[in-house]
Amino acid sequence: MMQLHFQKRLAAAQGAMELEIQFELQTGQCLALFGPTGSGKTSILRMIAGLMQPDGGHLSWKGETWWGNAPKTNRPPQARDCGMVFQNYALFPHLTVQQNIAAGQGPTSDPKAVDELLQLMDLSQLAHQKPGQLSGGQQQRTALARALAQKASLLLLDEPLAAQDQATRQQLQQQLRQWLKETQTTTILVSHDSQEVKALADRVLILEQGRVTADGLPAEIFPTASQSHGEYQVMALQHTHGGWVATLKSATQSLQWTTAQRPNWQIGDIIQLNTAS
Amino acid sequence: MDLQPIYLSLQLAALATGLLLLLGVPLAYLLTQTRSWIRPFFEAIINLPLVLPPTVLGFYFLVAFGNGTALGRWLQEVVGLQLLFSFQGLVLASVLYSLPFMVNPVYAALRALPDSLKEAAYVLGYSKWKTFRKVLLPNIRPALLTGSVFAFAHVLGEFGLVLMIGGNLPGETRLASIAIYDQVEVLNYAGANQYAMVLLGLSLGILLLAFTVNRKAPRVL
Repeated sequence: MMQLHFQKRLAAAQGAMELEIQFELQTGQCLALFGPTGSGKTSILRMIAGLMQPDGGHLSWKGETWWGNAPKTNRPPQARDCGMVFQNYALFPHLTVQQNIAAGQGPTSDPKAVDELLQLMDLSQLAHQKPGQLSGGQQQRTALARALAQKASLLLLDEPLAAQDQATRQQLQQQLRQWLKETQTTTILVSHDSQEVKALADRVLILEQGRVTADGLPAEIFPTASQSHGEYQVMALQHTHGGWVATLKSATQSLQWTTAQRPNWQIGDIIQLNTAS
Repeated sequence: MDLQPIYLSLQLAALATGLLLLLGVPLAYLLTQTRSWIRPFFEAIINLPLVLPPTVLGFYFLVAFGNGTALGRWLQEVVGLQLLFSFQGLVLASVLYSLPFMVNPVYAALRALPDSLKEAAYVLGYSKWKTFRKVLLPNIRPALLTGSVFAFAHVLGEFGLVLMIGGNLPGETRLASIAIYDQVEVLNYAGANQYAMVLLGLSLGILLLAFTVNRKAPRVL
């Protein structure tokens, strides 16, 4: 089980932001962090991986403290049993796709497992290409395969399928879900896509300006908007210089709603909107 | 034409470049890890040879390693190392004099690499040393080549510094650049031209090779 409590002062576009988050996560679960850009999701993943230091709090995984103040503990990233897919992929440019995936395996190389991952991610034809020769989607699948090759007990996924086209994304969501369940890998997923959260996550936390505003099952947080006219789901709420921008999604379309005052909605709410006016 | 000054120049340039790779690359890496407020101090020290007349460096080299200092006497009597008017002295001086030509391109290349490369390596369990060897170094190969070529060419063309601390001892410190000076002094322009043409051809060939190889180098993402 993971026990996490982080406090961190973060620099954001609208000035400094105090991040304060606390949750427990059962082994084998997939938890999604959902929220607008700048709400602190990626920073939480980086603090779990040991790439960023919290100002206060505590982090333990399977009974072992990874970060804490009393006594002062800070496991280096190399000693934390976690894999990570970075938002910018962070592939090694001098290695081929195959070598990048094998780099995830550590000193014990298993070419058969690499081949399986190449197939799973539909990369077999590109095994000997270098990242600079790949499209964004192909690079992202390579990064995901490299993280899976690590077989870490904790997997951190930062927008892992954002660069995929719709059909590939849905196929990969199914395969990834199956892989995570078969290997019982505990996963923390950062995503902007409620569909992806519903497909992959067992639980979702909604983050706004460094705070959890909702915690529940994806189906509860994101009930499917019906086909009825004017029914929209609130996907994101973001504070900008001009006021508030809400991203709304119906069964057929998405739109952005700008208001001067913060609307009395929560992310995931289903609202009625008369778009004709 | 006596080819010994050419061989000696090539030998000096190769040795100094090898030592510069061993010394300059870790130094450039350490510089990227240095806190930003103190970094300009080290950058200024390393880059001093770019702006100082070679005679200034030569003068302090003479002062530091001559018989008049405890360091000079200790090196000569205890270690058995004679640094003035010797080939090993030329190697050390060349390394110091050409340090910015190796450190600057390597430092710039290391800083241009995205932090996420290093972070991904750490998350994959790579130690700092393994990350340096297996991730950072392979991705700055063009800069390593550029640094090596410029350092090599710079050492090949040294004159003032080597004349001051090495003198003109045939087979020991008489380099190609000094041989040109000797030939001009005795008004043998044809002899000077032969040495000059060899240096010109070598330098141009090395630079052409480096730029051609680097043109084909893949860009880091």
